[in-house]
Amino acid sequence: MSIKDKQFDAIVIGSGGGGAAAAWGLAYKGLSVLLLEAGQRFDPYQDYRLSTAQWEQSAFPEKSKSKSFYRIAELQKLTRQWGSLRSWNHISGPMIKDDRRLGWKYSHVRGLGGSTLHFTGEAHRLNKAAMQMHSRFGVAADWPLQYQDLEIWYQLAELIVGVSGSDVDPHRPRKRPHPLPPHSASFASQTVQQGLEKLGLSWTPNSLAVLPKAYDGRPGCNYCNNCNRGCPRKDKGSADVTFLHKAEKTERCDIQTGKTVLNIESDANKITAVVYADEQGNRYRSSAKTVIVACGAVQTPRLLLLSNTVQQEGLANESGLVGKNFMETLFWVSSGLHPHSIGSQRGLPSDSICWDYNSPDAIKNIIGGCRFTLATAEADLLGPINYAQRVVKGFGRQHKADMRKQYGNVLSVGSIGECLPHTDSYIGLDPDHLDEHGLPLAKIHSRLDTLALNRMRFMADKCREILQASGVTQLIEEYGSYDTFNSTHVFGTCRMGADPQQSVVNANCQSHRWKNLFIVDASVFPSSGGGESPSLTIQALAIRSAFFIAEQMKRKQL
Amino acid sequence: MNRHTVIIAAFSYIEEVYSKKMNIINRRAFLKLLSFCGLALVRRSEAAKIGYSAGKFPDRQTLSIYLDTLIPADITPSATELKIDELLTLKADRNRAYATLLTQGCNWLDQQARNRSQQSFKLLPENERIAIIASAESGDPRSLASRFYFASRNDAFFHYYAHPKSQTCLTNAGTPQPLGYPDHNKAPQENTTQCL
Repeated sequence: MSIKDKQFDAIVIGSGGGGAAAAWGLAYKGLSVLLLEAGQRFDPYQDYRLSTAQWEQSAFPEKSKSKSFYRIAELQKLTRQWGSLRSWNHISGPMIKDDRRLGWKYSHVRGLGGSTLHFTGEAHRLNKAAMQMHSRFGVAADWPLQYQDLEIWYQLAELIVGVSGSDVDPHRPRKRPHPLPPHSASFASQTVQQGLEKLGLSWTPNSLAVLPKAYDGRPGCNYCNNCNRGCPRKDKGSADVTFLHKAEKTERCDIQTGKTVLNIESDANKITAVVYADEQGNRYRSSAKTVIVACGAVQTPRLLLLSNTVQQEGLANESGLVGKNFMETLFWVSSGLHPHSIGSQRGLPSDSICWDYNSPDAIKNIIGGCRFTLATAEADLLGPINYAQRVVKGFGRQHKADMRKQYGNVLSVGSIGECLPHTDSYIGLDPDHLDEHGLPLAKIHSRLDTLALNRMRFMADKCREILQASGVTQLIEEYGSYDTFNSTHVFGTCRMGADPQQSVVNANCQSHRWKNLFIVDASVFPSSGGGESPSLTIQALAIRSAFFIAEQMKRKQL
Repeated sequence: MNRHTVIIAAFSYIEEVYSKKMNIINRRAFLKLLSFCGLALVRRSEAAKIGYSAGKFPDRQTLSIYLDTLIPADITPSATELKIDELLTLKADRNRAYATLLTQGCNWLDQQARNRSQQSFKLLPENERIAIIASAESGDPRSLASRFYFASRNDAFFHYYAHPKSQTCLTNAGTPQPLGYPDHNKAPQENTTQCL
């Protein structure tokens, strides 16, 4: 084992939305930063193969260690009561044949830029009403800061990422307009808008980290609809082409890929060093005045639980809440065939959005909101392979003829809703399954409670209603979280709060106990919001923390 | 990327290299080519372990006729014209369970053909082949016939519709980049009469 001693102002662990934004914020403020990323660097021009004939045969490309290892504990039994929430396809039938919920995947990317590499690009601010869930509804926990405390940091994140969108949104008041104007709606999106209007619902341009025109050295989007396979043009504002690009330009940020952090060391009062390994198993130790953890709501609690201190099982776990309050992605997607030619392969995955049910009290008799968007890209109904397999029935000459008639005619509408924490959903360690370094894997425990299922039923019913109003005559496929654990947005496992007994970090994302330890990913979220994508809020919090750290260092308080 | 995708990527890469009539293969391309050849060798040894010779699918003719019934030629090529049969047997070469499923499925097709008209599946007229396949499609989902049908259907379409020659008359079915869809906010172009 070789160990190198290095000294930095800050070590950032993880380079997704939060880690990248923190690294940029610290470097921008003049601090020296070591950024440790377990995965590899992706080259948009080389790695994202949307110009090759095989583009549809694989999703986002995989590289060495581009997925972390984890386990999913046995999930809940499925019951007839929620039969309308089972996933199905009109050709292959029920997707889950058993009567138990399937633990499919924690959908993420380990690589420089993290899951922003495959994200859709939604750049949402949280609904301000969704930040006080405990005081208003007695569920989850209140955020220890208000929307207005975050507003300027949202602005800064939007400016760096290059966010486009509509400036009219009463739930997310803005002091400045979006840096970029909204995208024009695709023809598919316009078709759904007609349906929503019939239902008296709104459809507004979505806030997106996708450029409608050239900005900051990057070109405008050309509407290929495949953000989730990786953007080869760099018009999508993933963390690698935005925050990390700028962080590297400061020449104060040392980015190390292929470095897996194994342990965070501490003495009686502070974090002292980070121990990590490269892909060959060589070990290193680096130290810094402060350590920022940003590995996401599954791997961050794992790392903390692995980093025991003399006094405590699990670093920063004085409250016992590291890994608790896990919140997952509660989602539903319905797809159907429109009788007319739509060309729904074209556009942006979710150029418009319906926020009408986003507030926590917007759904009658159900606490927690949700939102609706076009979801044809989310459902991966963008190319002929998926049409042939999942949309067009049968085989032979008729199948070929129907392919020509139906290709591009599918409309999908999806919904993501609030997920509230409870004691049965949490992240633990699995001592029976170890990684290559002999360390226990993270184990995901998940249960959807009745409130979540009622919310999902509302989401599913509304998706079907929207499709029908949009002219869809035949549903062909539906899927959601009820029978399959498949989460992209995960939250809550190192909750932020004012009370050290009830939270892991404070409003600055600083550990209550370890003043030079910070957490800047969605694990700090006290509540998930009503379907908002979390990346922009993560980035706003991360920049805020970075600037706080810089200020503290300036005052010699860190 | 799963192993199946790796080998498809290998083939497409090799095809790309030759289709561009590259006179000089640069070092990186050559190394890539070598590594893919190594991959193929590994696959051969795996196939030998399960007593299955690469490219010697027991009833290749039945499989080919079956695939051409699933995907017949019209204004676009048939399955075998795009070598989909080879790709499926390649998968069978490295996957014992899949080889068994294809073999048993082809046996089932032949058995059904003999029950109907005392001859093998490959000798039946198209309408009778269609009737047999339709019975597999509508049968018990747990049955061998159904599992064979849906697995082979999925795989056949997976390879067939990745090929540009299959995409004639599918508006906007080409690669999403580098052009994207600048017309995304307009109604799509209608197919020409020839395509309908």
